[in-house]
Amino acid sequence: MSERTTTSSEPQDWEPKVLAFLCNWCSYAGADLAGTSRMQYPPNVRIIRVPCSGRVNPIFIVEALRQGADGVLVSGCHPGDCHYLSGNYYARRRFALLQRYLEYLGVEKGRVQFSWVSASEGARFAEVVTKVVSDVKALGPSRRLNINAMPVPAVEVADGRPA
Amino acid sequence: MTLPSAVREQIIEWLKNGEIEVFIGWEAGPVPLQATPVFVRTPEEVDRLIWDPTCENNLVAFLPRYRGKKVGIMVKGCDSRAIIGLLAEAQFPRENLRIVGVSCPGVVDPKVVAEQLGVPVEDLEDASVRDGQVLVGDQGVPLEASCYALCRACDRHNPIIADVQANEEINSEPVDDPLGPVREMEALSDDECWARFAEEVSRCNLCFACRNACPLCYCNVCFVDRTQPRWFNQTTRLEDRQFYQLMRTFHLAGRCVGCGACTRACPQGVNIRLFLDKLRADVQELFAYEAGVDPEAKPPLRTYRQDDYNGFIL
Amino acid sequence: MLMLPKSELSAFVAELMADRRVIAPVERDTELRFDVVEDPEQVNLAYRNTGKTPKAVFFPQVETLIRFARERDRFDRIEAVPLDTTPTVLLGVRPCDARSFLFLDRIFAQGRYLDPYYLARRQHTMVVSLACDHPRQTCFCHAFESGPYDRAGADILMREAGDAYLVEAITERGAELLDGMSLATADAGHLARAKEIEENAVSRLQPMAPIAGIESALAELFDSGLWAEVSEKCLACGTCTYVCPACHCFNIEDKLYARDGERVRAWDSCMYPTFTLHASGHNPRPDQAARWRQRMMHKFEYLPRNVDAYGCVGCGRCILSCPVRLDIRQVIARVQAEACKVKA
Repeated sequence: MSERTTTSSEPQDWEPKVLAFLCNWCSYAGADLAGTSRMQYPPNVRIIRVPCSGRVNPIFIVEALRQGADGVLVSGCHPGDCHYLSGNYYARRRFALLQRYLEYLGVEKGRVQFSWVSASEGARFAEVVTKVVSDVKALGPSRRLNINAMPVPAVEVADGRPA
Repeated sequence: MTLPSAVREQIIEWLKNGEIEVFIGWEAGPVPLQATPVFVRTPEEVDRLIWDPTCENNLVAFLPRYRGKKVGIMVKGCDSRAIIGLLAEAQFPRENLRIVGVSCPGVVDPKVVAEQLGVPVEDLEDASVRDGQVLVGDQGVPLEASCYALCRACDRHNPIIADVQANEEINSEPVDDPLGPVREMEALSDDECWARFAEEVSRCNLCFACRNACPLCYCNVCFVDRTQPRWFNQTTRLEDRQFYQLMRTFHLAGRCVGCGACTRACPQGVNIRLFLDKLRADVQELFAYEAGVDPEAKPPLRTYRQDDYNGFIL
Repeated sequence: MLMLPKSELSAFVAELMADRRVIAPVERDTELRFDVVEDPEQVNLAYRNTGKTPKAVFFPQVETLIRFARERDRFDRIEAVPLDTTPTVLLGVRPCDARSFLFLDRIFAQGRYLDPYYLARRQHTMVVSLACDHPRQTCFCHAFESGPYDRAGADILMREAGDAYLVEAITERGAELLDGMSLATADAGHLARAKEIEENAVSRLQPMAPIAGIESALAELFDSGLWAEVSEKCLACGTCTYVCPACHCFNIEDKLYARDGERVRAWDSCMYPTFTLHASGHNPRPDQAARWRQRMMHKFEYLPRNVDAYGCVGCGRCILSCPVRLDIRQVIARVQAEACKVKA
């Protein structure tokens, strides 16, 4: 059985791809501030802006891992500061369960992480991204749930499982 | 075994005076040791109803189809919690329900009986349940040794919501530790967990019997069937089976009442409870909530506290 | 008539494996199913019937049709997947399953449109049937003018004879295969024992009215209220369609990966709401009653009209695997009873 072409080349010069869901009002603005202040942080992060951390459906996180993201970060406003008042509170409960569940199923601890970063915390954003990228790099390329890392069935016969 | 006459009469009365339009119960099925659902609409049909430990299906899975109607239903201890689950999510008005509760010692798993007797499961002819035994021809297996594995961990033999209780309550402790398998898996390394998850799911056929048997899976359009966007391909590649099991079970976080209908419905023997019980345990630990107990309690993912667990945040 | 002692079954399988792929009932993941044999000792022919059908040998649940490379929205380097022409022996199928292959031939291998993927496998596979010595309570092959010892669809037929199997060539290529193997001639004792076993098997069949003629009954019942009744307990899980030897509906989808993709054919089920869901949102089969009506009509009215065969072989797997024990025999009986009422 062969493996499909993965999205990243490896191992020596492999760089992780981290998908970050940032809430528009706090974390995304914080990331913006990091940029305008010329703070350095790893370029491995790809940002998707969402109105609120509460908008992030668990299926996005799982789908990101399926499509080949090596790590996923979700960041929102600090509890109490949500632009929509309570979106991040719901998100907190959801993500607490999801993170434990993914670890229980064998997704390595550190691949999916969560933070609160406010609009004025440019330095904090850079710090968070640096930590997440470093954690994910240490874990290596994501193979679990990654559809591109699944073996290609050679011949499908009898049951639809690889012969 | 037919229902006690008092219960039969109550159901007939409900039908006659229009308190219900249909009564959902069980009747004897075409294969041994497994009853089948029946939908009774006339007093004459009430004699078809039975109760015994072959009544495996959770009939609450049918309730969402009868929205707007008045329905009578028979529930075991585990099933009754599904009714509360639906009430907590405002899916069915209580006043449109008439509930007959039965206390259940554990439902018979024909495969377990067949194994005990050393015969193929299809050869269980002339089988019945009587006097605490599963009788097959002239051989008997004690009822306690004949039930599904997950029934051995049952701590909910008695219905917690009912208009009529049809039999005597059962008060016995679980034989197996309900959280045993979960704690075992939690203790594994992530490589081992992943291997276990993949192994369990490799049996899945994507037939969706689990989803359809689940009383809390009532979405009009399941995520599996969505086309904009299309999350899901209709293949049985491992990645799709894992995705389905992971997401469906997560959609039940805080909602699964632990009735086990999914695991019993699975034709492939996937241990779906191994995943759902983890979520139930975490919901209990993090949010002090157990689904299917209090119809007034807000489901945990629809509410919050300002001092919720924050320790996992960077 | 030839004979194979049961003690020599593994040797027989090993001989077949020398130059062929052998697919037979083997134990995999605590399940007995038809799969490629790796070790001749694994073959288990002492079984009633498998949970899943061997139709996957010719019509896999998931099959790649073409592969292609992809760069975002651009697709090129399309390549057809090579057809599977591995010489194969499908060993130990029950007569109901062997008949189902003849039925599937009418769908995939006849008429204007021939399915090359199916045909390649079918043409290179020899079918060795094992007559059914112990029909299950749920078996109703006899309602189709067939029976547990039916030879239809087999290249070679094996029959239980106590401590051996009788082995008989049915087709020319079956005879050719047997010529190359050194099997003893069956003696009178074994012939007699085999006859005994056959009579016993036939006596186990539960009485059931013949299916023949049901198509005219169904033609009158399209608008009947019986469909809502019989389907009321159906969970729409689709398990019946997955274990059915005759069900053959499929969907074709493109699976996309980061740098490549495949066009995949996968089994579909008429029991699912999305089966006939239109892009507009309209669904001509909006409820389970309509879908069950379709299931019955397809198997017992449309298919007889279109390809002159019923879409059911009476194996009874649907009854055994249904989570609510919906019994198709009861539906058939209901249809036949309702048709009498309509006539009266």
